[in-house]
Amino acid sequence: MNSTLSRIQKFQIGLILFVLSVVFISSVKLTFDGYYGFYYEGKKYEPSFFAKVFDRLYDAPPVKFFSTYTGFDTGYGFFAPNVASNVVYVFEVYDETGHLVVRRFNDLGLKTKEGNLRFETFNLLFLDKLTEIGHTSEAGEMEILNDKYLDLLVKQMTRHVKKFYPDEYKVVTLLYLHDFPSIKRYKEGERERLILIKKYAFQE
Amino acid sequence: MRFKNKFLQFFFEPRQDNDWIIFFRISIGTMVLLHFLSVWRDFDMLYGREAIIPVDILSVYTPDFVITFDELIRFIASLGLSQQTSIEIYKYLYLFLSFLLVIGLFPRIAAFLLLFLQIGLSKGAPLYAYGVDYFTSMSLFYLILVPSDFKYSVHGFFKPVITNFNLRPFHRLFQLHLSIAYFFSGFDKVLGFNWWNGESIWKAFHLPFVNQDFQINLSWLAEFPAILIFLGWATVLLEMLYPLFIWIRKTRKLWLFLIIGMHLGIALILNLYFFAAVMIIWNLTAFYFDPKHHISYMK
Repeated sequence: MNSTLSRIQKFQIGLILFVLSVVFISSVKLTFDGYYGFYYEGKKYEPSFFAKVFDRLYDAPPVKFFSTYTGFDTGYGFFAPNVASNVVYVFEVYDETGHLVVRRFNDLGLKTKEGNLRFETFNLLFLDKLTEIGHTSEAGEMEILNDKYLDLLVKQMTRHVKKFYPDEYKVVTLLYLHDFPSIKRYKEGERERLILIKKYAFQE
Repeated sequence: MRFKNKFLQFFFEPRQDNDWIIFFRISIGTMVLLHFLSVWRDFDMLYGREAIIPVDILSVYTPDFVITFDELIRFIASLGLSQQTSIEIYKYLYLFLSFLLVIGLFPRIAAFLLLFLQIGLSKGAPLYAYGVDYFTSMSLFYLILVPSDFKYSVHGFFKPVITNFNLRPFHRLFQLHLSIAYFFSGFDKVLGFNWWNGESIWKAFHLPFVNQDFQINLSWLAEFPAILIFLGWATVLLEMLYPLFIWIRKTRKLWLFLIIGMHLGIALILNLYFFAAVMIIWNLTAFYFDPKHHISYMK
C-alpha cells in the first residue's frame, strides 16, 4: 500500500476520528450520569473532574448539534448500571353516583404493541418522583418544576381516559411503583406488589 | 513507519466486495418501514391531533435547534393544508422514503430526508424514544455517508452505477463504533452490583411489561440463583470483551453467534423485537461480511 495519505484519505481519517470521538464522549458522559444516578440518587454530590469535562464536551455546540441530529447522543448502557423498576397507572372510573365502574391498568386505549411500548418508556420519567419523596423540603426549583410537569402529563392522560366515558363520570389516576421482590425475598414467599406513589384527582 | 503502514492497511486496504452496505441499506430500510407501520394505528394518539399528551408538551426538553414533528406539521399546514392532511403527508412520506431505501433509489437523499423526519419525531417526543430510535438515526447517518446503490438497486438497474470509492474506511468506522458501544454497554452494567449477583437479570425478566407475548414462566429461576448470576456475568463479559474477541479471527464467529443469541433472547423474553432486530443487523453488517483475509494479520 502507498504510505502517503491522499487529501481524501486525510478527510476520511478526520471524519472517522470526529465520529468516534463523539461516540466516546457520549458513552463516557452517560456512563458518569448512570453511575451518579445510581449511587448518589437523591443525595448532593460533587461530580468528578472528568465527569465535568465530558459534560462540557457533550454539550459543546458542534458536538451537541451533530449528535442530536444523528442519534449519536445516546449512551449504550441499556439496563445499566441497574435495571430500573417501573410504574403502573391505574385509572379508576366512577359514575355520577360515585360508584366505581372500572379500574384500567395502564390502559390508555392504545391499540398496538409498539404504541404501548413507547408509553412504557415514558413511564420511567415518573421514577424520579420516588427520589423526591422524603426530599421535598430540600427540593430545588428544578425539582418543583419537574414535579409540576409530571402532574401536567398525568392530567393529560386522565383527560384522555375520561373521553371514553360520559361527561358526568370522574376519573381518578393512581400512580404505583411496581415492586418485584429480590431473589431472596421471592424465595421467602413475597410476591410482586404495587406501592402507591401518588393519587391524582383532577377537577375539570 | 510499520505502524503507519498497518494503520493505512487497516483503514484503506480496498475490499473486493462491499455487500455489507447493500445488506445494511435493505435491512435497515425494511426495519424502519416495519417499525413505522407497527405504530401506525396509534400514531394519532401518540403524535397527532388526538394525542394523549399534546406534542408541544412532550417537546419541552427538546433543544431549540431541533425542528420537531410539531413544527414540521405546522409548516406543512401553513401552506394551506389542514393539520390532519399535513400529518398524513408526513406519514406517507416517511413510508415512501423508507421504501426508496429498500429498493435503492436515491438512497442517500432518501436517508437524509428520512433522518430529518425521524429526528423530528423522536426528538420532538423524546419521552417516547428508546434505544431503537437512536440506532435508527445512526443507521440513517451511515446511509447518508456511504453510497449503497451500486448493487441490488433500482437506480443501478436503469443506469449502472460505477463506484471507485473505497468503502473500507467507513466499514472500519462502523466496526469500531459497534465495538465501543458494546464495551460501554458491558462496562455500565458492571458498575451496578446487581449485575454481579443475578438480581438485574431476575428483575429484567419480571418487569411489568416484558415477557407478555410468550409468558414464559421464569419464576423457577429463584431456586437456581447460580443460573441468574451466570447470565448476569455472561452478559457483562460478552459485551465488555466484544471489542477483543470480535476482532480475533478464531473467536469472531463464536462471539457473533453469542451476541446474536443474546439479542434473540432479548426479543424472546423482553419482547423488544425492533431493538433486537436493529442490533442483529448492525452485528451482521459489521462483522459477518468482513472477508477473512483482511483480518488475518490480527490473529
